[in-house]
Amino acid sequence: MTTLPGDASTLHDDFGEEESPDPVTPAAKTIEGRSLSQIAWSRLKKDRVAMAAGIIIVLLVLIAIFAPLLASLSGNSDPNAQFMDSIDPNTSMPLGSAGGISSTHLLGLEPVIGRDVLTRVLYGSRISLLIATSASLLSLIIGIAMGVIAGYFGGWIDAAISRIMDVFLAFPLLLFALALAAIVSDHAFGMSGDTLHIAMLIFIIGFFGWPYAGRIVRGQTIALRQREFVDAARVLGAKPRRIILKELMPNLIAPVLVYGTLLIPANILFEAALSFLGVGIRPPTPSWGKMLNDAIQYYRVDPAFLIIPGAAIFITVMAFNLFGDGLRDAFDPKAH
Amino acid sequence: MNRHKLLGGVALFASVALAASACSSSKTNSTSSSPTSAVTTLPSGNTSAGTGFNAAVTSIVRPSDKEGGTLTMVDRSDFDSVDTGNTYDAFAWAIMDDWSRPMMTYAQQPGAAGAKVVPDLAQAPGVVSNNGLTWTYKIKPGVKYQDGSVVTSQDVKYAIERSNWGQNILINGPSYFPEFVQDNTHYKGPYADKNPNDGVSGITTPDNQTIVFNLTTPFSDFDYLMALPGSAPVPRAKDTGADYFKTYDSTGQYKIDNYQVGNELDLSPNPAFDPSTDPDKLHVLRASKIVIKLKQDVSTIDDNLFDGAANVDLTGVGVQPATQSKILGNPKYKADADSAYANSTEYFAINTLQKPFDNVDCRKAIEWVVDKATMQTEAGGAQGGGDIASTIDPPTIPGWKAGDQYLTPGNKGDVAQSKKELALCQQAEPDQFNPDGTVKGSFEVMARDNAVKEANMVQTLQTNLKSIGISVTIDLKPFDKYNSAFAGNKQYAQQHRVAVSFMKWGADFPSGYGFMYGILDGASIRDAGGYNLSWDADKAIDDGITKALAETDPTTRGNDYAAVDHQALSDALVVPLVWDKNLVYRPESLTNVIFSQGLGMYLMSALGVQ
Amino acid sequence: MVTYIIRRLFAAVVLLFVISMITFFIFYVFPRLGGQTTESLASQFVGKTQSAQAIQGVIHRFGFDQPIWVQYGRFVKGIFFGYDYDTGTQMAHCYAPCLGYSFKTNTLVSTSIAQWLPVTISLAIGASILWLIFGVSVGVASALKKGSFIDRAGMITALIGVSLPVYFVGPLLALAFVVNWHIFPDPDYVAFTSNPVSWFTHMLLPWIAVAFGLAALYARLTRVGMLDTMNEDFIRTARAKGLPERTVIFKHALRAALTPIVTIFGMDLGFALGGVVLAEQVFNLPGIGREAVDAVNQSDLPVIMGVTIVASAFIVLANLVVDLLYGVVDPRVRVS
Repeated sequence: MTTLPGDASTLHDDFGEEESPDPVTPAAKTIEGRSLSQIAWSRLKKDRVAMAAGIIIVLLVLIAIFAPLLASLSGNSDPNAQFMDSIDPNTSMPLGSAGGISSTHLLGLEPVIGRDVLTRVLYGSRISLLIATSASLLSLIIGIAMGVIAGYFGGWIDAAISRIMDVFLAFPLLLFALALAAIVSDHAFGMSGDTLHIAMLIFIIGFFGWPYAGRIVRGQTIALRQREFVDAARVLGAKPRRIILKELMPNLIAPVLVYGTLLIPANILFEAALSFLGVGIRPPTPSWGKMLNDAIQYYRVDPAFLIIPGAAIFITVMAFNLFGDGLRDAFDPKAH
Repeated sequence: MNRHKLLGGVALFASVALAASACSSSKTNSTSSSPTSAVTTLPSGNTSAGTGFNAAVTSIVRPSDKEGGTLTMVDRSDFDSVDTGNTYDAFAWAIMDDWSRPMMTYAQQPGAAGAKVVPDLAQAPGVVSNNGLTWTYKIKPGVKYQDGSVVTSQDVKYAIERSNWGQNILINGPSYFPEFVQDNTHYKGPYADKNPNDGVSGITTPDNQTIVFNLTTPFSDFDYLMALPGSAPVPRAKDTGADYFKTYDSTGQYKIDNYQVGNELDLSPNPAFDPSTDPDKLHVLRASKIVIKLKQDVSTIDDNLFDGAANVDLTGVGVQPATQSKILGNPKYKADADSAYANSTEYFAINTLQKPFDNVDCRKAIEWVVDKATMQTEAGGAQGGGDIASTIDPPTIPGWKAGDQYLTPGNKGDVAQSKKELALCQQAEPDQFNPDGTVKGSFEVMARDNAVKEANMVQTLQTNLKSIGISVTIDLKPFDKYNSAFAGNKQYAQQHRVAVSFMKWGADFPSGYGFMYGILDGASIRDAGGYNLSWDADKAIDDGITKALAETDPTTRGNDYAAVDHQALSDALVVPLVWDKNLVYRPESLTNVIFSQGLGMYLMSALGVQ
Repeated sequence: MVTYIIRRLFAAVVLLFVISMITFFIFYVFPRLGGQTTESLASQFVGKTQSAQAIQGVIHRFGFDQPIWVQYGRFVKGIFFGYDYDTGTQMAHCYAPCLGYSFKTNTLVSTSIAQWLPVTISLAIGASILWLIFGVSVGVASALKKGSFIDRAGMITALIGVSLPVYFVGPLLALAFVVNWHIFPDPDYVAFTSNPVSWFTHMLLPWIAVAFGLAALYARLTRVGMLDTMNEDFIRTARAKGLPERTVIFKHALRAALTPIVTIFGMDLGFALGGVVLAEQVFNLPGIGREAVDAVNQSDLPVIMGVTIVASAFIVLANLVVDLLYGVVDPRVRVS
């Protein structure tokens, strides 16, 4: 799986420019007396897989929020504490089987350094989720703004914005992000340390991800613009500002929500990829990608250390993907 | 990925591993490799070959003068350059004798003898004048380049000028000569001043065989400078500057057939090489072909040694942790391994510009409190990192004496003693302390960010310092800008209240000067980019180094250097932590294996294959 | 048709031009905004001695002392006409397309890239073939047997695949197939020309690692596309005509379902490049990805810049080809 945000093709089948899902028309609203989101929610509730995924996501968020508490409950509150007594002085590998998994270290220890893997995975979830969600938000905000403007006004504005999006889409994103993250590695823009690195990652991942959101929103807007209720509003003399905010936006919520949910896992993978390549969060701050990066050195002797952070990424990404799929189906059952 | 971790490491000698892949034998082994007790076996004659663990440290393993088949070497990184005038990589220096003949080179002998240099292109070691200012060398007659043309002393002069004065083009190599050689003409180097008649006035060539160096100050280690790869001859007419590495004119036993940057270097026998010009057998043909595979994967490099895909790891930084257990756990493998000093030291430099650490008692407080035993574990343990250091120089440096300062029970640090020193400091500088005896404000300790173990060592230091009331935060910075922009940048160090900086340092050549000048001498202080991270210009140290450089008797000189080392600890400028050691593996196919004390790794250019 | 091609070509060239400008700005102006000086920029390229002469030499040879537009002009000129550079003893010529000169390796960037490209291309092409074949066939099989065991197994695998990053699945594959079962040799690059069989066996694992996630994605896309198409009127018509089911599926349905896949494939080549970069890193293959990461770690700006430009050109070119193909397949495109 490529680790790029907003893998456009994930969404092509549903929210491509050419075909757009039927937004629920005002007429339908009055008949059923329920809003789109109510209908979607009732559908979603029946989707057990999506609900399970949703529960996992909630748990993950709770884990991230309460990571320090959970870590101290497990007995190892400090992510940087070392347990050298449990490291074989000859091999530098954790003593015991499966990466030193024991009752005191539930997920074992890191080779050589002897830090508690569970505590670091817990703390790593914070970085992962923080960066992925913030970057997704950034992408969505820019994407919605640009997409709506391009789609609504059309003409040269549309042409200009579309070309800008083409430029972004033609960048070899990972390489570029890699170089960019490396250039600003020290003090810059009045920030330093983890704050700077987190801000940089959010910016890089979020900023370069907006054209994907922008394309989808633009397509939707173009489709919506031609619909009767927008025409009606225009004829009644509504200003573009009002039309965009009152008529278009509510109908964009569904695709944006679905896209946003699917963007988060892509961004988790992206952040992990950058940390894996060594330009993400700097040690000793725990991050899943960095753990995998370290694990690559030892995986032939200590596979547990590879599998645990890898599984953390896998479960998180899978949960978001499943939930996103469910959400999409709920908003647009025709898709499957 | 893992490969990158190797790019960092030692300050001068590059490409020494950071990851705790290095390892070592037990303490007992380390003493056996110390200069005093090392057994020296000469390669020639009928001396018995060494076998077993550490055999290559004390003897020659499978000595051979026979030409074998293809010798395959693997390396974790790439050469900074294969041009002898443009390189600063440790492994490059260890192999370049294959295609070049520097004036002097490391003796192909195990033990302490291997830290000495012997004439290669030169007929004899340099002859020094009575005032110690003039060094004269004669080169061997009949030495030829691979195209058959004859090497002259002018070529040696040109080679030294291009690599030391031509750094506007050849940006990688060391630049010692301009510091010591007289130059009235302010020579700009052959690339800025293209007139072939211009040159450094302090280097003269009275005839085609003789080269004379006139120095501004005595420099007894001059023979070591002549052992740097930059002294290997380069003909001016053939020099193509930055491109010369593509057409390097070999004078060695092999010539470069093919060098694909970042991928592979292939060597084959040099037909123009005349063994009669090499009476000391420093360039014996022991392989019909040498293939050096570059940028190899760290996780498979050791497997390649075991399955026969490669004969030796040219990187020379020791095997991976997993391989280490495999080797030490199995007597069969252990018999084919060596573990010895890598000629580098890990230490903390204390910033003497930062109040209150301008006060020696405050610095001594740090010396006493550091828990070296834990640091050793973090560096990789006695088996994985090295021996706990009591001096700055590692024991392989001639004249080395074990340290007797700041020794604490179990090397765990001594908080009581430390607090005593801190109290003395408080009396001298009361305004820097809080009423409860803790030091006012917070400081930074620095380390490079590409090595987890360094991060851990500074964390331990943070805990240690906390126990005596010094509060510090940790500041990790990129390896390649560490000295230019951060720890070695005066402005940065002052702005960020840097109190202590971690450093790992290896010498360019195994002498007290080579080891200590760059990190302790007042003249090595730079506003940015230097390695003297204590920023201290103690005249006693500078004078000590100057005195040693003027001393012609090697034993006295060694003692002088040991005194400088001692003085630096009395001044509490640095806290030595670990003398690095590497565990290296020699497959049975490898012949003529010598662990060189001068290089801190196998003598790569002397290896052969069965 | 000719005007269409010319128009697309022109757009592609303009796009590349803009990308080169942005890339240049980010690598050469951005760091200065972050506080770097001419000297500190140049000092990154200089070896350990950091002598003033070496730094000045780099500044002069690089043109760091020139105004930024002159530097950019030189870069663009190099791409189209090449330029002369000073080796110290003589002026050498860097032939067009000249992408600059690396001070770290004393090599022309174009020479290095030419050396790395076969590895990356081997990886990318092999992986694309794998992911297309497996993605499409699993998708078709799933769609045809909707709800069956094959469908479920296929889709669950696909879901897992989408959530597994290259840097996790790569080492897992190596662990299983190289370390445990000794089925494949350790991945390595063997030139196709020197030993095709060896080339194949050594590349297989990296191909799978890159292709896995994308195949999963394509399986899902193809399945949705097929299901939609199978419901279309023309399929019903074809069936009603009494055409054999094989003909209906392979001649009519598959073609219609695959057309959008082709477009997406063009776009995904850019994403795939990200996966290729990671795979090169995981398996230590000497392609442009690994070298770019190395260049980033060593601050070898000319190499990073060159690789980014080449990779962008590759993506733009791939999209151009897809556009043109599309124009051939679907005549309507040409007019619009």
